[in-house]
Amino acid sequence: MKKMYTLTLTIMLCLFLVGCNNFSFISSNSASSESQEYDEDLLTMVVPYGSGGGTDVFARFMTGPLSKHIKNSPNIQAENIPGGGSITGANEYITSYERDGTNLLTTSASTHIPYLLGQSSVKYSFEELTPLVGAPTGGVVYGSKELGIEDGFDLGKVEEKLYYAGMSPTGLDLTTLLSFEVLELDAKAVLGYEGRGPARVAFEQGESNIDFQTTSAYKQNIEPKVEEGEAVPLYSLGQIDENGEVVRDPQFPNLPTIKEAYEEIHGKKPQGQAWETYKHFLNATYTLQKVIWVHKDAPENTKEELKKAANALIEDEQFQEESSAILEDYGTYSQDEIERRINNMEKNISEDTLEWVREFLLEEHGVDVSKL
Amino acid sequence: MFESAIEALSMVLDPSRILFMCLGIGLGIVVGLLPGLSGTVGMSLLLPFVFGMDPFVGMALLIGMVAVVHTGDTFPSILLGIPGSSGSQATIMDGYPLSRKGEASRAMGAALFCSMIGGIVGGIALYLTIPIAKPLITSFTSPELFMLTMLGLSMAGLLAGESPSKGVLAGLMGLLIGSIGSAPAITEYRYTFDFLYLSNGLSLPVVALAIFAFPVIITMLTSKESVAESGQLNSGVRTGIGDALKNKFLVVRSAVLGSVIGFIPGLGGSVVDWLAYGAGKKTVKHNTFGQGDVRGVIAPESANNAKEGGALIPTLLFGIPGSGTTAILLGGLILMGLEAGPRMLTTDLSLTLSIVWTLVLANIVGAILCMTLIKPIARLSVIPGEKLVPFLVILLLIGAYQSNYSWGDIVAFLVIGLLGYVMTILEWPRPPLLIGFVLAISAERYYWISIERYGWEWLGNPIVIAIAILIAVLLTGGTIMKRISNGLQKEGV
Repeated sequence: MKKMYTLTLTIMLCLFLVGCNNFSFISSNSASSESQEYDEDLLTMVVPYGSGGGTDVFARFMTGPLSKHIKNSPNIQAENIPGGGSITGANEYITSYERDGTNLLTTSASTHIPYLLGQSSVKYSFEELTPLVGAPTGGVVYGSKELGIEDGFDLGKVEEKLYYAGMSPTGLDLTTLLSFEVLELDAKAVLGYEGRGPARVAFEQGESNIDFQTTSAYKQNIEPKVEEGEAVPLYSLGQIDENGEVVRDPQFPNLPTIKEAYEEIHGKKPQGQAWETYKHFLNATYTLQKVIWVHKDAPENTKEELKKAANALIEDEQFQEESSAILEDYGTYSQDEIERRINNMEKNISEDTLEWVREFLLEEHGVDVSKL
Repeated sequence: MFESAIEALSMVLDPSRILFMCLGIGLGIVVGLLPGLSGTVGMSLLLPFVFGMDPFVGMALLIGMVAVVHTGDTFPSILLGIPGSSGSQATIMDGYPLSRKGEASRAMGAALFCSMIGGIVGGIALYLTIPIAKPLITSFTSPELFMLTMLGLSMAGLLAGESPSKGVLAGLMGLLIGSIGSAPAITEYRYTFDFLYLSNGLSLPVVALAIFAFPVIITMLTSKESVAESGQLNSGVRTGIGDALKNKFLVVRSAVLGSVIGFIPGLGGSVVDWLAYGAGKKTVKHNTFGQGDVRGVIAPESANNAKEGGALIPTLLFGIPGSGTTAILLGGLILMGLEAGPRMLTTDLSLTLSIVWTLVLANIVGAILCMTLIKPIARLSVIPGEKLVPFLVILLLIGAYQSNYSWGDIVAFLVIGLLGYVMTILEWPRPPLLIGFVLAISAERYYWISIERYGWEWLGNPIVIAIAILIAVLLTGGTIMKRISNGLQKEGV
């Protein structure tokens, strides 16, 4: 009898414990997925680059203003995952970070290019991500005074051999190299420099005579040279507008774009596969240079809250003031706009464009994309 | 510029800035002390805090940290034979033997004093080059940079010790290991075997730690004795400082060399200690470098602190980082609302000058602080090895792991470590391997650029020819001298 008593008690206890467990399990589950309350207090921002680089600085800067507009003002913690030219970190974000909306990812042009080229090591895809914040940058191509020309319209008359100093054909240089291809410039690309800084020194030494810099580096270092007469601005890489056309860069309203330069030199509008490819890469590497993402299959309410915060940034005057140095005065896109632009980009990419750029890289620069 | 220099000094001496500088110094010494953590780590730790700071305060914090890393990193190099950071590898060559003789205090006294002098020289170099920085930096074209990397590689021959052929082979092995990962010019991966981890190549902290520390750990475990063979510790900080003062020309020479190498962009400051060590070995008379000669500690320690002052020149004025640490410093500048560039000499001149002052002050404070630490820390060398090893293993693994936060770091540490151990058993010199590793990418980069840009024309460049002659003299000089002296001896007989 005593045995039965113990047994019943044990069974009851077990049932009770199981019941409790079940109950708490269900309730915790429903709290996170069904409730409309947003109550996160810690978000993680994955930065697939090492500390101190441009993208890291951008990401760290954005954590503050972004957090301010999210309900509860959660702390946003930057987490650097360097390596693999940013592929490692972006892959890891897709494969091993929880898709509960508490993990964000910041990417940059050098994360976008391997994806666009379809490199086999890339495990991330824009289709699995929802963009929240996007910011552009611009680029200006300039030449040495030795070329003896006044502006980009005279590029066709240059007699000297053009040398271009760059880093790698599959990095940010790709867009500039494509612009030479569009303009049919015969510039010898000497690649392998350590960064844009050393490439600029090469320009000053005369090791190269045509070069480009992104907006703030251009304003800091090249504009004084232009005033001294040492350098001549040739054309801006331009920006892609909502309709997918190349327009003047808002930071360089007086500088003709590559499109205008082409029309002046060749007397017709640019067209053909090279031009289509150029526009595509200009969009992915400049107009959409820095993007903050969240997993697409994160809970809807969390995503809504994050989107709302991203949209609030545009109205935030304090943010615009503080961000002018880091965003090079371009500001950020609204969340709707960046999502529309990313969708357009995904839609507009054609197999022909990819085929063309792979061919271009193989023939002009000896890079076999299929082996990367 | 004097007026603004004095104005900048008064800014630096503001109590709140001094406080932040001391915070930076504290962190810098800890980061230097822990094996494997270098200035890069200290910088990434501080970076989140400088956001929005007043630039003078933020710079005091960052520069205070950078200035003393190579002061603190002396401890593990001398006491344990493990590089405290990648800039103090050469200190091991003579510092560790000294500590085995029980003369750790003397070696550290000399090293810290030289670190201080080196740091001050670096600060002065930064100050002096401000007006002439621009022509100096643009004067090194790719072919010349290539020849400088060759000059660095030829040091591998000097450090080979007894057997030059083993040294050359070790150097080549280093070049081979350095070529793992993506090629500098063409997007092409070498020896990566489809591991994404290897696509960026192996990182210097992992290789430097593995090649030096791994064998030390095994020896500690097997020999079961403390670092100081006699188990006794002689005091001798003053003797050490005296040694440094006696060799004041060597100190100044090495410090100047350090700041010059630091400021050449693209050469990579990581070899500066080896270059100073090699140069010292070549120029100091009657030396016993490698067997515990205090001058073998003086040369690299004077140079590695001086390097930081030099490396700041291209960083601040051109936005070209001369080392990993300064690369992060650039990010820090942007976070404080500044940007490196010519403006650092005009509107932001006072900030640049305050950096000079911080560099000098931090080196003095850091060295004095470390001197007071010598006594307690030197006791590490009398602790039995097997009791020290567990702590060291953890520190080393953390040190290796922080370079990429990836398991690959640990695996690479073990594999390279085993290689290092095999090399010690076979008595192959390890420094050439490291020099080869560090210079592999730069050498390839500038060779490729030179050929692409100039064809073979660049071989006629007068500076290139001059450096080539220098290399030839360095490599053959010793043998020829030996032959002459041998000949003289024979005649005498």
